[in-house]
Amino acid sequence: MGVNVKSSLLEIFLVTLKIGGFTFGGGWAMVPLMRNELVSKRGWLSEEEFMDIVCIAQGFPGPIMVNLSVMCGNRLLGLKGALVALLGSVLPSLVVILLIASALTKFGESSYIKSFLNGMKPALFSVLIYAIYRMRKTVTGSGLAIALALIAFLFVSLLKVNPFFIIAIAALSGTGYGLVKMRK
Amino acid sequence: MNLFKLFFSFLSIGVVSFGGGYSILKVMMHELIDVRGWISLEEFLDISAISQSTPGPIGLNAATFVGYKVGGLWGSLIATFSVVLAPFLLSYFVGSYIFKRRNEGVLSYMLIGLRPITVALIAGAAFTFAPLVLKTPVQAVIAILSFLLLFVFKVDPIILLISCGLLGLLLKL
Repeated sequence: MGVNVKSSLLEIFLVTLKIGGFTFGGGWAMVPLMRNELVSKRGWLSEEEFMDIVCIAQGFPGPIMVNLSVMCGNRLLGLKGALVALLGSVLPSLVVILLIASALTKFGESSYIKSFLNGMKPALFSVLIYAIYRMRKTVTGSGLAIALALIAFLFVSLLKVNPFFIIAIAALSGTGYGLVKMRK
Repeated sequence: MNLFKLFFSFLSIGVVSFGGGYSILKVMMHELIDVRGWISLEEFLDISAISQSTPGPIGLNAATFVGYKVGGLWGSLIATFSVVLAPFLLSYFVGSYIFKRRNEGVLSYMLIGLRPITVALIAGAAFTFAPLVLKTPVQAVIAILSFLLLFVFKVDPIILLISCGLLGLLLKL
């Protein structure tokens, strides 16, 4: 499947700006938001394309949000798209943090922010579960894939292993399996 | 002079910060406190607390903040853009190379290995909120209502998140 709907630089900028501005609670929380904007709402990318971009982007260093935005921007409009996506995803945190740093307010300890986040976090939980439900078709092809997902979950969430190791092991073992299989 | 140091420091942080959010904070802590001595541990803890309650990636927020402390407005701009420089170049060049050939040969197998991991990592992110949802009744109700709104009414997740945040303000959660 190719790109279904044409995007513009301004639209890419606005979408990444919006996601950059509303992502609380760590990088992974923005994946469902991005999926909703690019796949469900705008149809710029297919479900499979988006999933594969997430898979590749997570393997690079740096914030997943930046990598994901850059790869999506590049996929849609090349270098220009990538640069605009980078700017859009970086700008909200740059502006907000600059305001806080220069005003020297104890923003993080404000009870309003705490209440806002306490209301938002349970919804974020549901948004993430919903995203997994929507992405399920890209994984549930085999029992092995489900088993791999469960093992990875165990290692990352319960044993607190750095996700990078899991990603690297998965990429390497997938590649190794492919090399063996292709030689036959 | 200091801005050059800032640039290389955050460039290297960007290169080695694999694994997202909190791993970047660990790398930063070492580089900025132990190696450079630009900020104190207390300041760093303040910065990471602020980064967690503001929008945007934690690592990026922390970079902007430290950059400002060390070199003012220019410092913050340099820190922010140098920390994303390596990730940008990798995503742009290597990322697009892999993406174009993702259905061919060995790369297609690499992605078969990666897809379940991606779902597991998203589940891991959800898991961090689980104690909150399971322990406090009001938040459990918000989670259940959010499920309904997403599954049945297909509500925009960003609108949902903001509404629930406002609800939190209203209820003084």
